[in-house]
This record gives sequence, C-alpha cells and structure tokens, in this order.
Amino acid sequence: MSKLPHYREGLRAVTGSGEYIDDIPTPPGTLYMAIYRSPYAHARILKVDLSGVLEHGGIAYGPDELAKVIPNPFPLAVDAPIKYYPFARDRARFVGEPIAVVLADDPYRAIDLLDYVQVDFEPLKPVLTLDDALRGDILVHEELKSNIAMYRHMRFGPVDKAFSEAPIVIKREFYYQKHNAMPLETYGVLAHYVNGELNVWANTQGPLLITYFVTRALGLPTSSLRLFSPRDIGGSFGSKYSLYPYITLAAAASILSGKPVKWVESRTEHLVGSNSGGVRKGVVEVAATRDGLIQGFRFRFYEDVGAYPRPPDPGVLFRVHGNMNGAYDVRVIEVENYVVVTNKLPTGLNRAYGGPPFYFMLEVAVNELARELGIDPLELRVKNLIRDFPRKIGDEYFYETITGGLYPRQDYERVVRAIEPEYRRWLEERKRNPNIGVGIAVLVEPAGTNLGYTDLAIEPNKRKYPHSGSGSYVTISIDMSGYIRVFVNGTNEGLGHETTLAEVIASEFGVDPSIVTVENRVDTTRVWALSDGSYSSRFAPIVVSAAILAARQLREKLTRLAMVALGTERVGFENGQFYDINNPSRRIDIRRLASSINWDPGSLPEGSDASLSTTVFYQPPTVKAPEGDRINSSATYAIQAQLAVIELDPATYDIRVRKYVIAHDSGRVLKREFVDGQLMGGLMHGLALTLYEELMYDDQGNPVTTSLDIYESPTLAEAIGMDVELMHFETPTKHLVSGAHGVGEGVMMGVPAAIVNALASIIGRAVTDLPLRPHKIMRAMER
Amino acid sequence: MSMAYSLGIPRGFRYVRASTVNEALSLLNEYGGDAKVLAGGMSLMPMLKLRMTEVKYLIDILGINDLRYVKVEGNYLRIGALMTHGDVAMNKLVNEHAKILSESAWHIADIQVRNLGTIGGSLAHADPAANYYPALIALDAEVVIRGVGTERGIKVSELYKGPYITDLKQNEVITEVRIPLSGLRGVYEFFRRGGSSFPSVIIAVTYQEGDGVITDSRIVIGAVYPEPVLVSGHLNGLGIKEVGTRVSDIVNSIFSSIDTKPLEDTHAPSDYRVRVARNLLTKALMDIANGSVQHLRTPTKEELIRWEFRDGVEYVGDLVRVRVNVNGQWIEDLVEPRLLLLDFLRRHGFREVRRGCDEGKCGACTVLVDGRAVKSCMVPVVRVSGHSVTTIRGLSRGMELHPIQRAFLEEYAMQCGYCTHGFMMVTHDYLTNIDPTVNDDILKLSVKNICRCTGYMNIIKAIKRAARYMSGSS
Repeated sequence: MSKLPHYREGLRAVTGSGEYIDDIPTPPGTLYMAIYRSPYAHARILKVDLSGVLEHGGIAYGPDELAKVIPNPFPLAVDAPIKYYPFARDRARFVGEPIAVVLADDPYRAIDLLDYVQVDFEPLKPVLTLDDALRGDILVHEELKSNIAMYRHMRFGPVDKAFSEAPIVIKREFYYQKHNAMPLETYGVLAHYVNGELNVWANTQGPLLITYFVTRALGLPTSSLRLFSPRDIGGSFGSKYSLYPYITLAAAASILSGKPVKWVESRTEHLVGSNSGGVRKGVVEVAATRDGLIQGFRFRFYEDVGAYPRPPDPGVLFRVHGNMNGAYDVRVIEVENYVVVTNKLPTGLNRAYGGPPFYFMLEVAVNELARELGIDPLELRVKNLIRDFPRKIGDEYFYETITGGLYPRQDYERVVRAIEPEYRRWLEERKRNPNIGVGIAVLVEPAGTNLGYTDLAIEPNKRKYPHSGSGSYVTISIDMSGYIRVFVNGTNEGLGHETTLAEVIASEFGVDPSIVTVENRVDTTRVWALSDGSYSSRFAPIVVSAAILAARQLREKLTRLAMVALGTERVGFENGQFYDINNPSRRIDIRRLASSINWDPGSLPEGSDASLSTTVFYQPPTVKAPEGDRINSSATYAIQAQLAVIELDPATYDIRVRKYVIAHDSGRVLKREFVDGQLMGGLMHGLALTLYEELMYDDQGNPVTTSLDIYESPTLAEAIGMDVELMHFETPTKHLVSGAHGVGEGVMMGVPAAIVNALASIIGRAVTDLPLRPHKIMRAMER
Repeated sequence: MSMAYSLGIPRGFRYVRASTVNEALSLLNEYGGDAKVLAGGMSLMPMLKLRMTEVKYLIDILGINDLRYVKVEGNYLRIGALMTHGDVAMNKLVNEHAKILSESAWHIADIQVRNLGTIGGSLAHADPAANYYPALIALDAEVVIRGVGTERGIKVSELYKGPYITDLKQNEVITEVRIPLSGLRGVYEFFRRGGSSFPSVIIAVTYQEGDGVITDSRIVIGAVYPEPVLVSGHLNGLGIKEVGTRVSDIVNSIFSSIDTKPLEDTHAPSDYRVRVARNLLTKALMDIANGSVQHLRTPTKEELIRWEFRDGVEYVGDLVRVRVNVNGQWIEDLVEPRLLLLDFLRRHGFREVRRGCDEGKCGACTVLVDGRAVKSCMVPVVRVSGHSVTTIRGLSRGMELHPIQRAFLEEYAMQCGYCTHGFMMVTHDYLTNIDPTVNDDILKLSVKNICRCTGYMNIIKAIKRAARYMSGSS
C-alpha cells in the first residue's frame, strides 16, 4: 500500500484520538453546571427562589450571587446605554437568556436539578420583528429610548449626481434570515479559580480579545486569566467566539463555589441560546447606464442583532466596508446602517461574517440589473470589473476602493471568464429543459480582519482610540535533537493548520516536515496578541506570513552559528545543510548544528547569540486604523466567480444542485487539499443557509427551531449527485509574505446570490427572501 | 413554568424486561399507566431525552425474538411486530409481496434508526408523518393485537386514531402485521425537506387490474392531514390509460372530497403541502397509466437482525449492573438505568465516541453493537448489557489502519474530525451489511450523518474508496 498522506489532524480524526473540550480531564471535585434559562422572550424577573435546588443537594446561584462576582457588563462596540451581562439581572430579554446556574457532582443530576429553580416572572410584550422594533412602542432596553442601537449614514463619491443622472436605477428589497453555522461540537468550558488565578479551558476560537471581555466582566486583571483551548475544536465557523458569556458564567460559578466547574452545552441550548447571524433587511439601488455600466450603489441595511448588540457586532455590517463595491469599479456608494435590537438570541460571528447577506443583496441586485436591461449577466459583470490597480504600496499594486479598501492586483476577468464555458453549456441545456436554472455570482473575498472596522459603529468625532488589530505571533525554536518546534496561539477547528505550518516551515528550512512539530492552540501563559486566534480566514495571509518570517529569522541565527561551526564567514544553505561556500564539502546539518548548540552553548565565542528561538509578530502592511469613515477592513481581497446550475422539481418546488463551479485566485496555494476542503465546506454551508436553515420564532418569541429536524440541516444524502468543479488560479500576492489570500469564506458569500439568480432564470423573478423554502417558490411562480 | 434547554438526558426511570409477549402483557397490567413499552426506542428515546415525556417503567421487549419473523401463510404476508425497519426494507419476501412497504421502510431515517426501530413500534407510536401507515393502508393490511388472554385483528386504517393516538389499549401490544396477498400493486411517492426532517408528503397508491381495467384501487395520502386519508375504489372501472387522460379530474375530485384541515409545520405550510400531495398523486397516477412505475432498486436479503437479551437485569438499589464487551474487553459497572451507552463509553475512556445532538439525528455517537451501526445516544447502556460494542479502535489493528480509516484519511474526508468516528462506523455497517458496491441511490437513503465542515464531497469519495479496499479491488 502507498504511503499515507501527511495530514496530522486527519490522522487524529481517523484514529479517534482528537482532544476536544469534553475530553479535557477534570480535576478532582469538579462540579457540573446546568443553566436555567428564561422561558420568556421579555419579562421582568420578580423573584428567584433556589431553595429547592439546595434541598435536593445541589448548589445554585441566581442573579444576586452572580452579580457579586460579575460586577461589570461586557464592553460594547456601539455607543449606546445598553448593559450586557452574561445573565439576566432584573429583566430577561430573550428566551434562553441565562438567569441562574445549578451545580452538581454529576452532569445528569445537574440537569435534573433545574426542575427545582423557581422564578416568578412578569411577562412583557416582546419585540420580535424589525418592523415592531422600528415602531418602538415597546422597548427592549428602556435606557436606549428606542430600539435602534446604532445608526450610521455614510456617503462616498458624488451620490446625488450619480443617482439623479443615471438613465436607469433599479431597486430591490431583500430579507436574509437568522441562522447559525452550527458546529457539530457544542460549546464547553472548564473553569477553575484558585489562588487568584482563573484557569479556563474552553473551545474558543479567539480572537484573544475575549480575554479582555471576560476579565472586564469579572473585574479581574487580564493577567489572572490563564485561558487554554483543547488541541482540537469540533468546528466553530465563528460561533465559538461568542463563548465569552459562558466562560464568564462558569468562572463565576467556580469563584463562588471554590470548585472546578464544567459545562458542556446541549444541542438544544446551542440552537436556542448561543449565537447566530442576524436577520437583515436590505434595500439596494443600482444606478447604471443603459448599456450596463454601473454608476453607483445605494444600500440601506437593517440588522437585527437580537437582545443585545454583542461584540463584535455590529461588525457584521462593517466587515465588508472596504469592499462594498464588490469586484466592480464603482466609486459612488451610499450606505445607511441601522442596528436594531429585538427580544431574540443575540448575534455574533458566523462563517463569512457579514459577507453572505451583503453579497446576496449586491449580486442579486446586479443580476437583476442585467435581466432588466436584457444584457447577459456574465457580460454585464465583466464590463464592470476592476481592471486597473494603480496604487503602489511596497512591491504590490492596489485598487483603492472609495470606502478605503486596498485590493491587490489580480486578473479579475480571467477568473470570471473561467466559468464561462460551463455557463454557456448549461444555458444551452436550459433551452432543452426549462427546469434547469443557471446563475452566477462574482465577488472579492476579504480575508484577515482589521479589528478596527468595529470603530465605524461610532461617529468619527466620538472615537476615543485608534484600532487596527490584525496581526499574529509565531514562535519557532529548535530542540536538542534538532526538531523544529512551532507554537501558534491559534485554534484548530479542522483547518489543517498544523499540517500546513509543518510543510511551510519545513520547506523554509529544506527539511522533511516530519521533524517539525506544531502546537496550535490557545495558551495565554505564552506570547499572544489580542488579534490572535482563528477567524476571518486569516491563517494563510497572516499566520503563515508570521511563520515564514520567524523561520527566516531563525535561519539567520543559525547561519551565524554555522559560521562559527564551520569557521568561515561565507556560509551557504541548501536542503537543510549549511556549507562553506569556499569549500562546499565542509557542511553541517541543521539538526546537528542545533543539537551541538543546545548541548554545548559554552563553546561559542563570547558575544555569540546562542538563542535557537524566535518570535515574530506580523501585522499585515496595509491594515491601519480607520480615517474618518474610510477603512481597509481586511488585510487582503481575492477574486472569485461562482456558477450554480440547479434543477427545480416541478412537483415539489424543491431545488437540487446539479453542478457548481467555483473559480478563484487565492494567491499562493499552501496545500491544495485544504483549499479544496474550504471551498467545498463553504459551498455546503452556503447551500444550507440558502435552501434550508433558519432559526425561527413564534409570535411570543419562543424559539421554534429547537431540533435538527426543524433546522433542516443537510446531511450526506443532500450532497450525493452534486457535481462540484473547482478552478484554482494562483497569483501570489506580493504584499503578504505568504503570498496567500484567504479561502474559508468566499464561497459561502456567493452561494445565496448564485442560487437565487439561477432560480430567477427559471421563474423569471428573483425570490429575495431567504431561505428558499419550496412554498415560497410555489407562491412566487403563482404571482 | 419550567422550561429547560439543557436536554439530551432522559429523566430517571426503572428499566424492566419482558422476554415473552405474555410477560410484557403482565408487566403492562401490573404497572398500568406508569409504564411504556420500549421496542426499538427510535421514537420514544428522543421524546424521553428531550423530556417531552417521562415514564416510571420502561418495559423492554426488543429481545422477544418470537416477534421477529416474516412468512407467507394463509394468504397473508405475516410480519412479526419486532421486525426492524432495515429488515422490512431489505427482506426478500417483503420485496416480493409488498414492494411499497419495503420502499416506505427505505425512506425511514437512516441505517442506525432502521437497525433498531421496529414496524410494530412505529405503528404504535402513530406519528402523523410516519412512513408505514400510508403503505400499509394502501395494502389493506391488518395488525394483530394481543392483551392478557385476548387477541384481535384490526385493519391498520382502524388502528390510527389521531396523531400519536391508536386503538391500542394501555395493556395491549401489537404482535403482527399481516398483508393480504390479494395482488395489489402499488406506487409509493415521498417528499421530505432536508435530510434530517420528517416527511411532508407521502402518497401510496395500490390497484388491481384485469384486461386493462382497474378492478380495485386504494389511494392513501399521508403526512398531509392529521390522519392518513384513504380513498378506496376511486379508480375502479377505469381503463389504465383513462387514469392518465382523466388525471386532473381524478385528483380534483379526490382532494375536493377531503374536508380535513391539512397539517402545517415549519417544513411546509398547509396549502403547499396539499399542492405537493396533488402533484405527487398526479405523478403516481400518470406513472400507472403510462406503465412507467419505477421502484427503488435495492439489495435484498433473507436473514433477519436479531436483538436478544443476554444478561439479566440485576438491580443494586436504584442502580443496575451492566457489562459490555467493548472492543473485545468486558467492562462492568453499576449505573443508573437511564445512563446512555454514549456516556457509558465516554466515562470508560472511549472518547472517540462523541455527542453532537440531543435527538439522535447527527450520528456522531455511532458505534457498532453486535456489528450493527447504532447511535449510542439512543440506547440506555443497560439494553446492551452482555453485548459487544465496537468503536474504531476495535477495527484497527494496533498501528495499522483499517481500510475505512485509510480511505477517509486518503480522501481528506474530515476537517474538524468531530463527526469522523460516527461516519466511519456507519460506513462499516453500510459496506458490510447493506451495499458493498455503494450505489448512489442506496447510499442516499442510508447514510445521513451530519458533517458541518467538509461539504460531504470527500466523505462520499472516502466511502467509495473504502468499498474498493474492502472488496479487495484497490
């Protein structure tokens, strides 16, 4: 049999030896936590009686006790008088909001004890829809005096002129549903407060900014939190960033009880009470000439963030700020952003954060423009693509968007044209079979978030400090046997980071990956930055760049040590060996060199640096704090084109994907199999949200989606018979050391629009209300 | 008002066993309304775990192998009530004599549910979206019901009294399903939304013809109304071709004769449900008229899955003694009767088995019990005391990977790895007991585990690669 592939995380998976949060050994005396959650969407909490729990041998803490150790609300990104705590203090604002915690020595018993928590409520009328919220008769937060937690209106370029003079302006309204990327592993925390140190194991994904949130709420110094993630995390897709309320609750329970406290979320809790994307209503206007040249975009977005504007929201609106013109050379943009609170689960990061709702609306609107003008949608897009990248920064050329984004130079048309042969072939097929639909989407995929974009939630003159967090630390050292050890304060949700780093670093040193060990997990006792973690597709552009720089710096150190070892100033390096350029037969292997220095640093001449370790912090060069309302919101951007071919079942109005083509240029491909995996995974997540998944509520604000049956998550069965074609272009970008853009999110950003546009090609209108449940299609066809 | 969302663990219950029907009946008599019968448990366990229901006594009847048979006798196809869905789907006799019943079973959930769930249990549960009712009513089937000293037979159409309500008395059990061999042929149409959802529409049509004229017909519409709707004899006297030419009149008159309010749920509002039912009935009738009825081409077999009780139930206080052979090693413990096999395995160090949901859908916790894929979160460990459980560590030999492990690794069929174990275990059962050739249509009806990372494409490739390895044609 052939050799097994080099895939470290995969080997752990097939041998069942991965280490997830529920596998972390518990210290003796660990108590298991269960959370009593509000059964009302909106209610005053009159009385919390926990005596029944105590009578049955358990421990319980309600709002009064919790408030003693959680004195502060979490910091918010909006400038609004809203206080967000990890538990309801005197008013519950969504079904599922924690009110009390129960502890027992057995997880089954902890759940049983919830029956004995008695809470008296005075139910209040809930605010559930955007329309209700905007009407403002009932308030989610009375201090706010409305249900609008943020309003920003920004104009770029001559908006009035462009829209008043354009021969055609089309306008479409959109609805994007609340959904959760739903990792298969739920949240988990093990917290142990002892001797003034708060030890926490959690399957968090970073950014490590959450250290600030957790310690702020608990009133502890950041130095007291020792946060660790397990080696493996069972998926996150952004959602596990929102663990910080639960880390805080478990920490509080440990502080109050003096015991280690463990909590692992149930699936039902995950669907009801943890995290989701927001409902978004959007109005998009496109101004254009009759021959399809786009003159401007006008956006109005209403983002329903649920009961609290929980950080990083409302970043969901600003994550795409630098790329609101998509792939098009459009220099007129107006955007009005409303952040609205309702009595529903608060929102947070969700795969492709901000991208799917934005590109859904943009790319359906552009497609509608083409349909209205009778121009081929692919040709209309090509006509508007960016072609010139005039601004030079360092070695790379950029297109600077009107909102501040810096797109590195790529051949956009080549990538879009790549899907054309299949696109034409299926248009022909459509002539024979009217139930075949063909749709496309074109976008630039942002990657490597600039945390400074959340500043846009605040008027420029009210911002206190500049923010541009984006970088990552990587540490590389060599041990006494010459093994190269890499440490990244990141997390492994299955993206293959250990394998990739081993290969990238091995190639920098000219050695076999088997001598490189990689430790990729959160450990705040080691070096970290607040932007460290695994999110916004930042691994390839940022973490790998840091790793390459660290490898090169370490190689420099080794070169100087090799000069000593070889007794010459002229040292060359190839295939893991240093050699005397004057006498290439004199050479020393990198492992041997490292070994001799580890064992015998005393032999080095005075003044030599015997350190075999380097730590590099890499901040992507174009990421800066916002200037006014312009910001380069991501470290990089990459072109992508998608083709969706669907078949509509005339009997059930259900959609089946026949063929899906993704063409993209993500720069240097670090490991092809992993890139493919991200694209295919993003496609299924995109289809899940476009066709199936929605977190629904009844008219009292009770979550309806409490099971996978109702959530309609696609299973393996839905993927059978779907033909997926991936087309990679590889133009290494010069502005990032790794040469690589991100690949984790672009596909999911484009799928909703590509599918909606494909359906429009069949039924003659765009159904702009997601998800595309068959009954909506039936009704659209009846109109 | 107490509303908990920390779910997935049933409330406590006392677990008892019946090894014969009489024993079951006498236990039911003894405990009255405090007891429920546990057959496969594929409906009852999720309800217990989601705490939608609770029960003082669970009477496990799965080991009554007397109720596990299929035979042709006295002009009936007789099916023992404890025959599993998997056997109903694959059994040769069922396929020969009641093809649409087999098809309805193939559409039930996934391999793991079909391995444990039973035909009698499903009928007794009476979910309005259950797969069997429309097929059995269309086949004019009956059930045999036994009480203490009583036995009666009623039509399946009379058994169903409403959603989750049947004609069964508290102290009765279904022992047999029997289908008259009257020569009814049929069509089964089915629509569900998303892989993990319950069906939204089921259509079953059966008919007999003589000289191109329909002499008897039964049309059943399931999952659309609170009860399966039977329209009997409606096509009688029509020529086969006439069914096609007059199809819209037929469908119109059938649906206008129904004055029940259609069901509505998150998957399908009522108007849509009725429309799809009309469309699928039209399709079924057109297929009959055109002679183009296509049945699922599925593998068949003769032997039946047997679940038997091995160890007795020994209580020590409120705890029961269990011993399970995991990967070749016996593990003994004293546990609460409600302790799930999943948690038993994890507590004993088999952490490769993982929990992904509360309702027994995602498949992450799948292991092999006596070689069959079972979701370990759906089975209290006491049920499998004396049996053998296999995890992936029981398939690999030391450092040498099993062909399934190898195939998954070579196809990069994982990302976060959380679902991988369950996928490999169900793949093992699928390739060993269902379909070693990996036909797409069969795979689609069988493996419905959930992965959130990979988009499934590489997992499908891995299953096919593993099939090649296991058949020796690498």
